[in-house]
Amino acid sequence: MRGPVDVTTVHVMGWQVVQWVFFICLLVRMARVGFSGPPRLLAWPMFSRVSHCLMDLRDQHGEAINPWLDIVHQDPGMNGYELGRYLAYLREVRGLRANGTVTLVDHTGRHVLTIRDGHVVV
Amino acid sequence: MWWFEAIADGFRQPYASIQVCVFRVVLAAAMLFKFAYEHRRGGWRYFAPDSFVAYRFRREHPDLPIDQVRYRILYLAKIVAAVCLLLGVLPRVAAVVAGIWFLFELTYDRKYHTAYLGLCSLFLAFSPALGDALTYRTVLAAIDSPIASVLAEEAARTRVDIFAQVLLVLLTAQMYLSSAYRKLRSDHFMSGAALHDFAGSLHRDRYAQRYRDTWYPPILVRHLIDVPAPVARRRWRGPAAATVGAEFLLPVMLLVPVTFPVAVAFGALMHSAFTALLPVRLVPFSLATVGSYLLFVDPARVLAWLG
Repeated sequence: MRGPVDVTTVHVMGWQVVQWVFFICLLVRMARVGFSGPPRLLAWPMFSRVSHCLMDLRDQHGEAINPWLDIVHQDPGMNGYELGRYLAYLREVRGLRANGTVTLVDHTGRHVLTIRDGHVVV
Repeated sequence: MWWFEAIADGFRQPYASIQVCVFRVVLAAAMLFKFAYEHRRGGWRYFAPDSFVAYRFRREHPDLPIDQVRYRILYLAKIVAAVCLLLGVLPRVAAVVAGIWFLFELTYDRKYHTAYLGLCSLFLAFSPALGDALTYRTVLAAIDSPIASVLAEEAARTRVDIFAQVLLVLLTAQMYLSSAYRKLRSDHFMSGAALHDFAGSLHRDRYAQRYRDTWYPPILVRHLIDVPAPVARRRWRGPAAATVGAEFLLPVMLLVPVTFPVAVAFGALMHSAFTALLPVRLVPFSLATVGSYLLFVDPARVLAWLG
């Protein structure tokens, strides 16, 4: 005759199954995301793609625009896409139309962009 | 190596609770450092209605209903969670709450060091041992009896569910391997240009920064920043290659007992260099990664050492 089922043993074994499933899913995700493809959670391409925008901008009233007053503290990495977003923010939220130049430094080199009336001049 | 044996044994292996508790304290301290400096640098106002951070967040995540009030509730929750984790008050709940905060933080400020802290916190929540040692109870007990005997009693506590430690070792190892591999594949990094651009841009913008955290010594500026780009890149190439080499070797060296002390020295040196490039902001990350080295030590050796 079978003895009484040990509830604790069943509980521990169930938890171990959860751990195995989590562990294997994590391993698969780490292998897939970590070494190729766009940077997502569990990919770690720190410093391997650096981009930065050095801005020399003034608004329509001639006041200097300093992006360091708006970005998240010490967030130096701004690429072309984020620059566009920042210019849109200045226009839409602050009512500022930027003029001047932005030097975009990234893996393709240095590009001097002209900004006129709040937009990048292509 | 113990890590593979622990997996083969279904994440069950005897270990001293204090090993993972030391990491809990280091991680909580790293979080509190991060939260404190971000608060000083305007973190409380990031979601003000007219801020760029809130604007960018709304554009990128129109489905997430986070306004300034909800942001501030989460903001307070993260501080409470970090304090609770440090003191060992409901540590597993605290680790989950802090982990969720970091995942949220990634939605408005995507940084790899934030992702690392968040994943550490979430994985730590799997440990049943977090409240066994180095908690507020330790402090209370030390009022009545000698601290040495309190700590000796806590150091004698053991557990067998080692899943959290297995995950945390895996996380740090995978981070190094992924980082090394991606850096190796990046011409921008291996040519020395990425590091030169990074340091150079921060140096040029140093007076524009509202809160100036970067300061590079004049000798570094003279030899590595204010020189023609081809020369600077050639000079940065050595440190770049050394970083990739160290990151490839560190996971194995940390797991092998003979090479462990060398790996800790190299790792600490490497993280000091990263932190020098981006001071203040990388301190929490460096604390957590170097703190995680402790988890690479064979738990059986720690048990034997503690007697």
